[in-house]
Amino acid sequence: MKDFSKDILHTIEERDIAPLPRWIFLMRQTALLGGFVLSVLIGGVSVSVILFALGDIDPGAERMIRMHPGPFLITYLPYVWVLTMIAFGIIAYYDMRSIKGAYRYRAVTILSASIVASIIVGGVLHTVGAGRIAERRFADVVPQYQAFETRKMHLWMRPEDGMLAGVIVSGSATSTLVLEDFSGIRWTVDVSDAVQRGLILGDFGERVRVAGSLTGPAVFHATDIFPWTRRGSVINREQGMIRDEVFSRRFPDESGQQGMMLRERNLHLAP
Amino acid sequence: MIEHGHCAEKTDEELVALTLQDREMYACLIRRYEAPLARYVWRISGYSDDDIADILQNAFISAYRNLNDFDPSLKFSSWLYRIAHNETISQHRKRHARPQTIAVEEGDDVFELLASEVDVVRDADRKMTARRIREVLETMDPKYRDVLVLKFLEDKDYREISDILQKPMGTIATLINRAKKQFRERVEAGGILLTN
Repeated sequence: MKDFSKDILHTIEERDIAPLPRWIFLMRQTALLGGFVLSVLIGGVSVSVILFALGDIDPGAERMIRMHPGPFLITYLPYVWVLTMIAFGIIAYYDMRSIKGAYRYRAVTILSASIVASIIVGGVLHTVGAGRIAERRFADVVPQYQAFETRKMHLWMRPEDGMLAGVIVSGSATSTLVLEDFSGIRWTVDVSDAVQRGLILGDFGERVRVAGSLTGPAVFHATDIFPWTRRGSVINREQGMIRDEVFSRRFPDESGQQGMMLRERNLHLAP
Repeated sequence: MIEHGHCAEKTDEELVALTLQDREMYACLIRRYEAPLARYVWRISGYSDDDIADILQNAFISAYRNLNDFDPSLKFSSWLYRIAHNETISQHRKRHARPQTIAVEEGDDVFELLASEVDVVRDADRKMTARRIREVLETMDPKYRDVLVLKFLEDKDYREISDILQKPMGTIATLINRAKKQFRERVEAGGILLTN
């Protein structure tokens, strides 16, 4: 009878086959695990950007959202990041599935674990403001990508649709404001009947959004007035810088000192 | 050459460790699993002896090359069955088809086991029933056939089937239930008498 074991050992010897070293398998497992962790991290960054964008939706803007659902969806739903989250969720899933022993878990368990891990990481990153930073950095690196801030500016530069945004040039947050929009046009905005949706300081250079209707050339009647963002100190620091910029355009000689004073005041008042 | 008696008292895991030190010890593992693996490959493929020998040779060589990847938390037999199963599937792919054959020896108790599992009455003409059941098995979805072969012919438990097919145990349980259901439906459609 033919000795099969002899044949196989002969083939192994003839082809000079040796067991692959253990480190190769360890390295493969480590690479898969690293890939999984990286995918979860990238997924987490995507989640933090999504939370950042969704967290900026104002309570009180429901009427505007109902009136213009498409532009709001395009602005506030960061679809690039939603797709990134889904893509890296799938990569994390396949990475995890290839890890030794992972076949013992159901696909739905692995997929859920990847998603939950990304959400937890994303939540943590969101609380430290990483979502906003990541979004900005991404916009810097990828010129085709329109940053959330830019999308938001476009959304609120639709006076004919009842949405206007810009910086306060003069006036009072309780009667009439002169607002300079992001294209440099000055608007007279009647805010006497407007509901304040958030903290409005009414300071020179403060960025605000108003909802209402166009009542004449460069004249707007506001029903709601929103701060530019729902966020606090970080944005206010930025507003200080914008204020400096507007101020320096108006009073070039005094811009440095005055701008500094305004910024300091604003930082002091910021919540 | 290693004598058969020399390996008999050693466990698979001990033989794996010894093989890593001395290649000749691999003969013990090959001799231990040659026949069961050949039978298994034949049952899931129905290939000729020569084809099965090729598949087994590739499987044993692949197992030897990856011996350091063997996870001792698994049964060595499950690991080896998995390699043989994958080799068989890759052979199917090379041939662009999986043969619609279920290979069962005369006297194999698969029919009795399956019959009792799905309450098929064993009629007087048992050979007739066996032939019909074989026909039914041949028409079954390969994923269902695989679990039936492992469960009823190879007598593997759920954990072993899970390790061989690399699917969660819950999925294996579902597959077995569905396989039995499909088997029963096709047996009924084929006109074989059932107990209820």
